[in-house]
Amino acid sequence: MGDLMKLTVVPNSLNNLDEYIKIGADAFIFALKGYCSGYNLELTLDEIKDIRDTYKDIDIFVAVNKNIFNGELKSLEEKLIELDKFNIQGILFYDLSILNIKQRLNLNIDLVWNQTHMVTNYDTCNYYFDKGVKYGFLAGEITLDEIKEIKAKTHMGLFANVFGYPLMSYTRRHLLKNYFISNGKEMNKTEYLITNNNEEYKISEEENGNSIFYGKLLNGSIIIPLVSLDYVVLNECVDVELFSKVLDLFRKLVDTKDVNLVKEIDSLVGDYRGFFFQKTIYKVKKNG
Amino acid sequence: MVKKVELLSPAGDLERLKIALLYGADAVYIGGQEYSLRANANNFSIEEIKEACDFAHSLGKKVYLTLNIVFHNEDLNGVYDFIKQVVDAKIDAFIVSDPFIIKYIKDNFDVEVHLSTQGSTTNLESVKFWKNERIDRVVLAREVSIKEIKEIYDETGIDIEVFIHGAMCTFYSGRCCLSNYFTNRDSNRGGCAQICRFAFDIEDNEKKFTMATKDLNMARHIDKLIEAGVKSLKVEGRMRSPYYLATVMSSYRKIIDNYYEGNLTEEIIDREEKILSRVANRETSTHYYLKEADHNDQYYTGRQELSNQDFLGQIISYDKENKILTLTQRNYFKEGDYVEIFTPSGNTYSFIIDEVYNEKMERIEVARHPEEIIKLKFDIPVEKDSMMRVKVD
Repeated sequence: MGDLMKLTVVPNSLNNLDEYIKIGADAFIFALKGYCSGYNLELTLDEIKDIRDTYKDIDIFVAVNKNIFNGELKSLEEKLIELDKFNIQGILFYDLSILNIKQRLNLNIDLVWNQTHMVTNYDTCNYYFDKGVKYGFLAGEITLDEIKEIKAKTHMGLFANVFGYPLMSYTRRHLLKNYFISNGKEMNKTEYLITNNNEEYKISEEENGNSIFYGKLLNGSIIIPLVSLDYVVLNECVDVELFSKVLDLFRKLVDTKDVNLVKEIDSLVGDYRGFFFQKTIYKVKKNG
Repeated sequence: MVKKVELLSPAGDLERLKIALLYGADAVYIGGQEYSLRANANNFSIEEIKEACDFAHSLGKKVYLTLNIVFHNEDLNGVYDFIKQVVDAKIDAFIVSDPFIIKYIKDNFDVEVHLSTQGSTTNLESVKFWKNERIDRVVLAREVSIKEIKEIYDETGIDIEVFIHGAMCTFYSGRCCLSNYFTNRDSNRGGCAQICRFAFDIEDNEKKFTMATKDLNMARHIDKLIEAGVKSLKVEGRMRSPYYLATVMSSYRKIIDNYYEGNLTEEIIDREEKILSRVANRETSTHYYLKEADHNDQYYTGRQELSNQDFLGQIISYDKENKILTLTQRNYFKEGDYVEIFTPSGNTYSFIIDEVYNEKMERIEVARHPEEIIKLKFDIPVEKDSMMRVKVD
């Protein structure tokens, strides 16, 4: 993949696409209606086609990230066949049914391996690359050093989240609905804040289940001068005014790699770096 | 002769492995000291894996090794040597989630590879993908229904393994990193801290928000799973006790055998369900197998998990001449208590304890001390490793 890092926005609505393009967005990711989890905005095929036709110079990716069940396969296949005609840059997929359908039908559309927490090593990137998957969307739980090593050892194009509330978990269960039913209460919205040990988390309910997001806002601006990725992704999770400012600074940062811009972004949205500089552990005792 | 469905047990160490196999498991799954999703279980050294395989194979049974972490770059060092050593130890299959490992094993060794439930395989098309990748068996996601299992089996004919008993993840396997964010422990590399069992405050509501699920229990529906084409019935719990494994294996063994013999009755299922419900003391459900999981499948009401003191002792020998059994005490019991002994070969004997003796055959009336050697008069010879428990009505 080339050295040009593309600034990618996951928008909350269609209202501000022009402004974001004007500021410097190179690409958008839209969730396919009914086949996604964790996105605030989901679009139908027609809406995606309209956007493609309207914004011809912008890269458009479509996310299909829910777990798929047998009863959904036929409809999924039909949608993939349609998307294949749209001249979009790719589909972000979680479920391997999508890769199998692409192979079976010999679809031309590019795929982005987007198994959220599982894109964590170069060998598996290479495995999917050899299967015809062009891009991988790196897990949010790996370090910058790991990202650099993956970048060095795979030909796969790489995406990474650099701005937004990190997704921690996803379930098919309707945890909020269940909670309110069991308490005999009305659930009057689809997002709630839950708190443990003075830390806040956002839980979001949708048709396909529940997603839980970390309460701290990831600001990964610091990695941009340090590693070259294909697409760096900013989620529109703050108000439009602030997001526009952040996007503008990221644009400048991508173009100049000026580390002083990192401080400016920090001053706006804080400096939570996720796992970029924090390695996870998994053994809490030595085996005897 | 009809090939019976496989009963697959967890085993956290050699003792548990032997108990599980003796009590009716056809195969066990274990973790090595690296690369498994129970990083903090005791797990098996290469020498122990070899011993486990030798023991299982001597009984005509199998051992599978979990190699199902989501690999990071640093985990790649050494994994190839590890796989070779495990193959040399005569493992019967690897349980894997990371696809490059699947390819590596299939390219280099003549050994089965089972796709871990960590892959969250929920549909026919995904199974076809894995079948093309030479996967021998798919452990389906715990979110699929029996109807979907049958559809998958009918169209692919692949070996299907499903969970039938034990704790459940609230989230899709592989799609939960709560532990990473709360404790810096990597859930996809075996560090899960079970954050889904925490209680949370929730805005605008006084009652705590929890997301824990009830355990899974499919004792009443084993016939449906078999008829859907399932080839292996898996029990969760590599960190569970030997008594738990003995009880669960024994119950499911009875259900499976009676099913194939045409003798499975409501009475048998009722009794085994009762036994199973006592051994873990958690409420259970069938979750997604029969319907969409809902609020009845979760712990949203206050839950009491009482300490279980059913397990009274493990038999270590039987003196045929004097008709005395010797056991190690595990929970308090006394003369006059109504108890039962269940054996690896599937027999259950109920009786009232007449006289309790210590190791020196001095009458003590009460067995109070864990691990104390106790002797009881008992007319029927029982096998070593039989278990004594409180009588289940």
